[in-house]
Amino acid sequence: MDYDTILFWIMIALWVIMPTFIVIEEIRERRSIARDRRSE
Amino acid sequence: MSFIPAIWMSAIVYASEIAILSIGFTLTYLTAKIPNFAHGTYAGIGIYVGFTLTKLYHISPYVGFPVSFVLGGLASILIYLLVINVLARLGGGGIVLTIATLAIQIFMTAAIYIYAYYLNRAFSTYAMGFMLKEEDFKLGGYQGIFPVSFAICIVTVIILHFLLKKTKMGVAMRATSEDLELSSVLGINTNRIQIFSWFLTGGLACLAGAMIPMWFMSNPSTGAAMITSIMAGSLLGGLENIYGAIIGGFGVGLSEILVTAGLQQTVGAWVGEWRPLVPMLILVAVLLLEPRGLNGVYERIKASRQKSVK
Amino acid sequence: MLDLIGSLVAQDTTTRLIIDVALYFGLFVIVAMALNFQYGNAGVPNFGCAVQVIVGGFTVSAITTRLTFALVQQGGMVLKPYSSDFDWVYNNFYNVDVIANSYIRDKPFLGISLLLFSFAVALVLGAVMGWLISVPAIRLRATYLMITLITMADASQIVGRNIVGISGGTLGMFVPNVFEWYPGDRGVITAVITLAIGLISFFIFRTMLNSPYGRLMRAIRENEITVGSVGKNVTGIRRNILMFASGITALSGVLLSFYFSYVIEANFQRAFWTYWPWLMLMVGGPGNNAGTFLGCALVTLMRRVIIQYKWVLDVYIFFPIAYLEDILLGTLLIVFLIFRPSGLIPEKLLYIPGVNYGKMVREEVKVDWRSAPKAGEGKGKGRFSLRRKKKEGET
Repeated sequence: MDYDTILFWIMIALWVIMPTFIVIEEIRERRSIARDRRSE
Repeated sequence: MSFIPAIWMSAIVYASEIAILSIGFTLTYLTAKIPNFAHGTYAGIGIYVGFTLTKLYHISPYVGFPVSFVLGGLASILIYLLVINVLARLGGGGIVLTIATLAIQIFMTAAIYIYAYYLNRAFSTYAMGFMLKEEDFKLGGYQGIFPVSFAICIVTVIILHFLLKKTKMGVAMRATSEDLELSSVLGINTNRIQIFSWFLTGGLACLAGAMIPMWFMSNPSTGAAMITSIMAGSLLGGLENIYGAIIGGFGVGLSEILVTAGLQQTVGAWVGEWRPLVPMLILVAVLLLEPRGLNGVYERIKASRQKSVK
Repeated sequence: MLDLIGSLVAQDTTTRLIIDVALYFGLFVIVAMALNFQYGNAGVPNFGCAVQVIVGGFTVSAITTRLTFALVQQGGMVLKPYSSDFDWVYNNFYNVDVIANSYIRDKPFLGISLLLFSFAVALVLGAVMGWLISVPAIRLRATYLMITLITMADASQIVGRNIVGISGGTLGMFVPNVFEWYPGDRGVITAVITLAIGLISFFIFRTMLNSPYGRLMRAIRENEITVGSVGKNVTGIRRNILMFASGITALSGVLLSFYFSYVIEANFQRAFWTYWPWLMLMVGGPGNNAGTFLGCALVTLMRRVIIQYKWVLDVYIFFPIAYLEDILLGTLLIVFLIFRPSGLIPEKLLYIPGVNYGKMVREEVKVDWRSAPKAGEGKGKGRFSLRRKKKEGET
């Protein structure tokens, strides 16, 4: 089994997952703050 | 032939340079209310101005001193106008300005390295580590820079004292450093005063820098590496007190060389490597024990004496 | 199959570049996020983070190596002597490369447990260093604190350089390769682990910031006298924050050492581990997690691209690239300070789930944030958690 390749693609996967997660969370937070603001 | 041991001469030259640099550092703190981390790098500029003049144009380094002063002052004004003035106008606080001076230090050190590299390539002189000792004159068996540096230090102190206490410009400088807005209300052109203060500190730092390669081996980062000793000297004397800076700077310079030498003789030669630790320890000790330095100690003694009189 | 990837991309060295970028990115994410924690939220301008990273590196070189040697000797293999300074450095290569690595080669469990051991010790020592940093942080403010911390970072470099037993003095020393059992490239697995830890630390920090503890930290940053008068132990909280962030930063030192399998104090220079993270902080926006992440990404990308395309730049620029990096660092820092002091991503209001500030001010609202549906559960860490308090118009 070629561990190197597996790990390599895990690394790429992490690299893609991290920003996606972060962006999704940030947008969610900002949207709910904006919603709170609008409901004032 | 010489009555003063070489280590003492070395210590006094170094201490005079640190004292001048500490005065400049304190002046900057009085003017701009920030510690200027780039101050040591101005000395680096002075080193290389001296080098250029001596190696390329074959002028005696002593002639280079006033040139360094002027060039340093101009560079300092340029940096002030481009960076610090802009940030202060935008309302930056102490931390932002200090970070800016750190950035300036990084920038200028790299620029000095580039300049030295360019000198290496273009003029095939070795600019990365040099000493200008052989260009010096001899005064009765002692190397010329030894009395000259000490003399320049004393003269600087006297001139500054006269400037700050007696001339109108000096009084205006002190007023601006006390309270900026009140001084501008009173009609002082604070902008011009600030430019003059920065010119003075830059020039002084470059002057001290021009003196360094006459005795010590220098490379592009020598100036920047001295910043710890400079800050220790200013802090020891009290960050807001120019006369304290002289005593502090001189004290730190002397102790850095003499303490290391003394320990080397008693404990072992390995102590030499720890030399940069001496000003660091002084700095940390001052900050933790008495942040206002010797000035604070002096004020405390004065206050307690007043109390006992009453 | 790596050659298949190699043929997919232009050169084989690009794979190495990608791994390198991943590793440095992971490391800087850890350091910058911890820095964000300290400055953006607790208001401590920590310009001495190099010393926190060094602690991790020294843990590996001083403690883990010695432990490995002891285990190896128990396992029956013979090591060359290493007690004196000279022997420590001189026999280091033989001891590590020939003996220790071959011992680890068929024991993956040992390798992993050594790694975890290094992490644990680094966390503890990092916390101790954080405590040491907090001592001046209590009495000094702003610029004086910066001076002290920078001095501490420099002092630690000198200490490392001169005490041979810690990290091989000026020559540096090799450390056992805890991934010796791995049949592939050591760099890849270290990079993956670094990225994973970066990700985990990002989420840890984010969770802490979105909890009531995070709100406490922001309150301290804004107005610490008020918080002190309300009855919170401000210095204690600051100390906790520093210890926690220091411990995590030390992890990155450990990972760096294992990537190179070599520790020398010149790897931990102040400009590298203090100024670049601060630039990342400034680019992204202090006090803002996503901003720090973005700052890390942009800055790391820029640096690696410069290094990779050195030969293109060499035509236009006649001096070595290292100086260009420094000039860029200084210039970008100043540019961002002047034009974008709040960074690329502006800081948003702190979002505590379930708390609606507008309603809170206007009416009596009973807030139970535990029933809120969104964005991360708060975990009150430390002894100063506000977890049990109900917010009824109280700050």
